[in-house]
Formats: sequence, structure tokens, C-alpha cells
Amino acid sequence: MQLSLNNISLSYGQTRIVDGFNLHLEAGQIGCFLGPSGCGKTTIQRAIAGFHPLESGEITLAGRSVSTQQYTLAPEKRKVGMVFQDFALFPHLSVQKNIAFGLKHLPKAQASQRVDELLDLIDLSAHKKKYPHQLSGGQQQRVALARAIAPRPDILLLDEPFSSLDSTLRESLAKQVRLLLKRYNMTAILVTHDQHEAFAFADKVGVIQNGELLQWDTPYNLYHKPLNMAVAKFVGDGVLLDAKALNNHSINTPLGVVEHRSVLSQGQTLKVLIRPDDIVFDEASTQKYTIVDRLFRGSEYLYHLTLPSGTVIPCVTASHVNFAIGEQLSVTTDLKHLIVFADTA
Amino acid sequence: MEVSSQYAAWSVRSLFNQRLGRWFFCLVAIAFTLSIPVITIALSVLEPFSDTWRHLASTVLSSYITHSLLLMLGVAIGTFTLGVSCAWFTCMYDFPGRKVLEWALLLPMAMPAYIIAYAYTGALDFAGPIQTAIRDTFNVDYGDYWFPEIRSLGGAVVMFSLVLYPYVYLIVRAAFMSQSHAILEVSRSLGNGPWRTFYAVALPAARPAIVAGMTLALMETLADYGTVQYFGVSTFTTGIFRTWFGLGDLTAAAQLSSFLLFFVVLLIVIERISRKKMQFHHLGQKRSYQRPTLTGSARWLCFTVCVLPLLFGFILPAIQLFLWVLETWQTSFDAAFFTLVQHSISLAAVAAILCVLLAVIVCFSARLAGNNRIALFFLRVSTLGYAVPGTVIAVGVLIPLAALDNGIDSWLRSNTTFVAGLLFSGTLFAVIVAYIVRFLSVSVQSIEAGFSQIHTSIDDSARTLGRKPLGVLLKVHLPMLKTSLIAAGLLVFVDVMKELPTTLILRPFNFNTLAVRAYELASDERLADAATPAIAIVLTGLIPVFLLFRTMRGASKSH
Repeated sequence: MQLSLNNISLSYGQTRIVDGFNLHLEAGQIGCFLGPSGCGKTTIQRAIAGFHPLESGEITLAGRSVSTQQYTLAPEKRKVGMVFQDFALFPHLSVQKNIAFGLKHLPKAQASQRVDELLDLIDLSAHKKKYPHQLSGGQQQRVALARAIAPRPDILLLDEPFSSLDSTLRESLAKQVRLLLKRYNMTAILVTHDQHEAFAFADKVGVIQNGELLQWDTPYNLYHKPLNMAVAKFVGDGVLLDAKALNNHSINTPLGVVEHRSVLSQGQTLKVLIRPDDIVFDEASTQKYTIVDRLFRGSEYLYHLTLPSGTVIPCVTASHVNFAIGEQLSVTTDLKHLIVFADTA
Repeated sequence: MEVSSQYAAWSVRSLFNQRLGRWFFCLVAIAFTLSIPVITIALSVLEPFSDTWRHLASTVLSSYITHSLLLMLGVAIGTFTLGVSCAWFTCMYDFPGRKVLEWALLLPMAMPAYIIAYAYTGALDFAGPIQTAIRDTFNVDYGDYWFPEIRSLGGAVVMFSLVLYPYVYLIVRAAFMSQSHAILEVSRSLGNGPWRTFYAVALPAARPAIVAGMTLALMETLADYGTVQYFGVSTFTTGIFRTWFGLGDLTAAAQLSSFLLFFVVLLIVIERISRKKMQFHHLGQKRSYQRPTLTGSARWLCFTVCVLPLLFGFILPAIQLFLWVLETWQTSFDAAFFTLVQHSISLAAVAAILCVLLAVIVCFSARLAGNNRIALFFLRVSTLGYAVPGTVIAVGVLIPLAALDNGIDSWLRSNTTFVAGLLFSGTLFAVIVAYIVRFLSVSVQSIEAGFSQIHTSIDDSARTLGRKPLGVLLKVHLPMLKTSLIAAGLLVFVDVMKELPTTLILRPFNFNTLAVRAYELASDERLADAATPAIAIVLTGLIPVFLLFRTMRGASKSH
């Protein structure tokens, strides 16, 4: 394991923010902490970097123990690379010198060779003598990335590195950075609150809420196989509807009876997750619901439909399916992969 | 910012993690050492009161208090009137000369009160050009006509007001500039005329700034020794001098100092509260404001109101000094003068370098500790000398150093055949220590402001790229702080050049600086000869004024 967080707990002053957190990352794997602001994801990352002491537990990095309750190895001795939200480029140093900053342990020739290689890779060779303020946001971000990976760290930590950039660029940039990291077989952790960014970037994503790791999984599984209702609500759009098991293989939902293969007991109260793409527009269908709200998104329409029970469900249609609020929308349901939770509440 | 609040909440434990311990120890050591003088003075009230004290209390103490209070009252009124009116006019209206006056109104800051006092005394005294002209023109003799006595409490009030109003002007002007003009427009639209809008809306909104500016001016007034001594107004500072040099009672001098300290603390508290309120009085978003251009007599009225403080606070006294220099330059620019310049510059340079060095250590240590409460507490303790009058600090430095000297001396006497004499208290060491105690806050303020411009992610980047804290400081922070470091050094340098009472009390025998020499010559009624060192002080005093002017211009450009 390149990185192991073994049962770590973190506090600010008297407040415990993370309690008994576990996570393991293999070499070359790209992980992501996804969660709302204040969920503790940044703090965990700072603990990995050595900026935050542990209350208990242990962090090991590339086989050595770097943080325990008694001991915090200084950040400068950890071989951790960091890319910050504001990039944190040194304003008094040129692009070249920024990238070379962490290479003082290398002989000069070797250091400058590595700088040149990285400059080439991030396509900024022509700008190497410039200073950070002379670069665009995207260029600064690339310099920050090159600077962080130049010393070949054991792990690269990225703290919301795309959030200060134009939102239309984020996903494609995340993809580009991912390719770059894969090329160096770099182990990395991205911290973000943006799931599209997380999905484009990471091999495995951890959904974190209130300092707790709710699920550590591939982007596909997070969306299609959420382990619990919190993950289901946080990842993707959708609503949870009340349902009841009729017998061990069928569920009575507000949208009709659905076959389902999981261990159900008759009469069990359930919640089923309905995604907007589960409800499909079909002019021929007799199943009709009243439109209570609609949102034109250019390439698609998001309708909100009200069921006889009063529950509102989302439905995505093609962009030219144009109905007014108050009209009826004919739909069919595609619930073959219905996600079902036992209703604990 | 989320990150910084996270830092602030760090536990004490983290201070000792990551080898921050050494830096934190430095911070505590500096804070402890530099707070000794002020603590010495504060604790002196616990000492038994001597006969000298009882004598002082029964005779002169009440006059010290009355005179100090009257001075403060007068200076408060004077600086308020001059500072607020100039700030309002230059901020709200366009009139001939406004752009120049905006910054030229700061020039009196370069003029120490004791020097303007010498200039006016020379000009207005019985033998001065004005009274001579009156006698010649009207053919009258001494006693036949009334002429105000400049060397009086009233005269001192005028002198202080003329050179200290820029404190009020500067802060209040910034407050007016940041006020939302919308609230003024609302007032006008509700039927209030310009005057009523001024005193019913603008003035109350700027009140915290006015109070903050006035308290700064009053602190300077309380700290003054040169002016009140020259004018024969007995206040705390002159009293402390007399008690030490005349009566030789250091304990009584310290006890008197603690009284003065009480007044200063009161002012500091008022200032702090006003500063806090200033944040709440920043109302709304600032829009760019088009100053109405005044016409007719109004514009000349504005011009006159704004030009008079400049004229009397800087131009006329500067001309007087210059005329004296012209009169005496052949004799006054001698080898002795250049020795004075050399003394002053080297003292100021050493103090400036040490203050900058210590300020960097103090600010960086606090930053490493995440600027948490404990670290900031020690940072404040290290700048405790802020606003404490030089006289008080001098006494506070003298007492522990004299005790140290005595201790060393008696140890040497009993154990060896050496006689040590005064190792610390009678040497430049004491002078430098006192300067650091008094002026460290000046450099800390400037460098702290510089540090606050550097986001903590910069530190974290440098750390993860393999630099130890010292490496971060040397390779990243110091290059980024260059301007702040220079400004901090210059400000301390100039303050030391102007400093009079601390140097007077602590200097080694016969060691003179420009300020001390000007004071001595003026005391010997050789005003014309005093002009050369005085004008040298004024010229260096212009440096921070230009620095201020630059920041002012920068601020107005960024809007």
C-alpha cells in the first residue's frame, strides 16, 4: 500500500472532526475525497501532508509511519506534493525557478533537465522566464502541478485545484491532469466537492460526510450502487420514494410494482432511489403525471412531475420535448436496476 | 478564510510538534525581555513610597495632572478641528490645489513638536522679527502692547495641534473615503443641507476613526518632553526628569511614570475600542465618487481652511529654520555637526536593523504557530512599549540594568580585584534596548501587514517541497516581504532620529545626537544654532511622510 490511514482521528481544539477513519491507496492509484465543505476532507488531506497532528491512529506513506498520536513527521521530510486551490506559486520566482524549488537535493544539471522535461510536458517551455502574475489561471495551475510533481513525491495531494478555473474547463482539465499523473504512475488524492470533477479524475472516490467515509468505490458504483441513502442523495440527482415489499421479489412503489432480486421480507418498508433517467418520456404511454416545474438546460429538459401521492419526481427528456407547467407528461419507467434501501427511519 | 481559521484552532500541542518549539521559545524570550521595562514601571507602585514621593504628591503632582489634562483637552480640540475639516473638504469637494493639499497636509508630521516650538519661539519672542516689527511700526515699547506669550500651556497646545492633526486627518480621511456616498445622498434627498448632512450623518459615521486619530495624537502629547520642558509647562514627563536628574530618586521617578502609564493605557483602550467599531462602520459598497467642483467664494474658503494648517504647521516654521541655517551655516557645519550626524545615523541604523530582525522573528514565530491566541498574546507583549512615553521606557530600562550592573559589580568586588563600573546602564547598550522596546511595534506592524498578504498555502507549498521553517522564511517570505522590511526599517530609523527624552536620560556622558544637540542649543537660547540639527531631523522626518503618501495614492488608485 502506498498510503494507509489506519483508524485516524483528528480534532480542532476541542472539536473532534474525524473519528476512526480508514483508507488505503495502492501505488499509482488516483483517489478522491468527495464531500460538502466542512466535512473534514481537507483536514484529512492536511494530516497526510503533515500539517495536522493525529489524535489517534496512524498514517503510513510508502511503507513508513509518518504520523501517530505521539509523532508527526515534518511536512518537508514526507515526500508529499501539494497543489492548492490558489496555486500558491511563489510570486518572486520565475516559472522555471518555481518548478525547480523542490529540487535542491539534485545536482544542477539533473534538476534543470527535469524542469525542462516538465515545462515541455505542460507546454510552457516558451514561458519559463515569466513570473506567475504574467500567466493565465490555467497556466498557473499547470505550473503548480509541475512544481508539485517535480521532486517525484510518494503521493500528490490536490486541494480543489480546479475550483478557481472556468467551470466549462474543469472537467477537461481534470481529465488532462489525470493523464499526466498516470504517465508518471503517480499516486494522488484529489479533494473536491464537485462530483463531475471527481468522476473525471479518480479511479476511486470516497464520499465523506461529517468526517465519515460513507463509501470508497469506483465512480460507476457510487452512482449505480450506492451503499446507503446518504451516498445516493449526494451523488447524482434523484429522489427517494417510500415503497413496500409485496413479497420476496417484488416492490410496490408509487410508480407501480417492480420486480427486484434482493432479500426482501413481505411488508418491509423501503426507500427506492429514482434517478431522472429512470423516468422516460413516451408519448404512447398511458402513465401521465402533471408537470409542476421545468428547467430548460439547453441539451435537455428537466421536468418535475407530481405523483397522485403528492411526491415529486424528476424526469429528463430531450430538449425539444416542450410542455408547459400544469400539462400532463406521458412517461414510462425504466426500473430494472432499481436501488432499494431498507427504511430505517 | 477557511484555512486560517483552521490554523487558529490548533491545539497547543501542535506548537511543539514539527520542531516549532524553537521558534516559539524565541517568541516567548523576546516578549519576556522586552516587557521588563514596562512591567518594572507598573510594579513600582508596589514599592514603599519615599519622602521624595510624599513631597511630590503634596506639591507638584496635582499640577502635573492638571497640566497634562489641559494639554490633552486643548490638543483634542485642536487636532479635531484641523484634522476633520481638512479631511472633509479634501475628500468631498474639488477646489484649487486640492490634489497637492491632499498629501501636503501630511507634511507637519515631519516636524517634531519640540522643533516647531523652537521655530515659533524664535519668530514670536520679544526679540523676534514680529514683535520687533510691531514696536518699530507703532513706535511702542515693551509692556505698551499686548502680545500672546508663546511659551505657555496655550502655546504648547497650538504647537501640538499643528504637528499632530495629520493623525486625525489621515484616519478620518480614509474613513470618509470608505463611507458609502449613498448614505450622504440619502440624507440630501431627505431634505438635509450639506452642513446638516455633515454633522448628522458623515461625522457620526466617522466617529470611531476620529476617536482613533485623536487618541494617537494624545499619546504623542503625553509622550512629549522637549516642547513642554522648553515652554516651562510642568507635566508628567518633565516631572519624571526632575525627579531623576534633580532629586536622584529613581523609585519615585518610576512611580510617577506609572501614573503616566495609567493615562496611556486608558488612551490605548479607547483607541482599540474605536478601531473595532471602525470595522462595523464600513457601510455598504463604495462607489466611485465624483467630487463637485466648488465655485465662487466657497472654493477660496475651502482652500484657505486646508492651506492654513500646512502653512503654520510646516511651511512657516521650515522657512524660519532655513533662515537660521542661512545665518549660521558657516559656523554650524563643522566637524562636531558631522559627528552628531554620524552618531544619530548609526544609532538609528542599528536600532532599525535590530527592530526589523526581531520583528521578523516575532511575526514568523507567531505565523508558524498558526497565529493562535497564545502566540498572538506573546506578540502583543513584545510590542508593549507601543505608545509608552520615551521617558517612562528610559526609567524602566534604567532600573533593571542598574540592578544588573550593581549585581555584577558587587560579585566582581567580592570575588576578584576588578571593578566593573557601569557595564550596561551607562552605555549605548541601554539606549538601543530602550529604542527597541519603544519602536519594535512600529516594525512589527509593518511586517505583520506584509505577512498577512502572504497566503498560508505559500508556506505549505514550500514545506511540502522540502524546506524547513527557516528555509521557508529565507527563500520565500523574506524576498516577498522586501517592501515591508524596508518600510519597517525606515520608520524605526526616523523615529529614532527624532527621539529626544529616551536618549537624554540614557545616553553615555557627552554622547550627543542631532535631537539632543538641538535641545541643548535651544535650552541655551541659541535657537539659530539649533536650526541646523533641527532641519536635519525634519528632512529625515519627511521619509515616512512620503511613504505614507505613496500608500495613500496606491489606495485611491485601487478604488
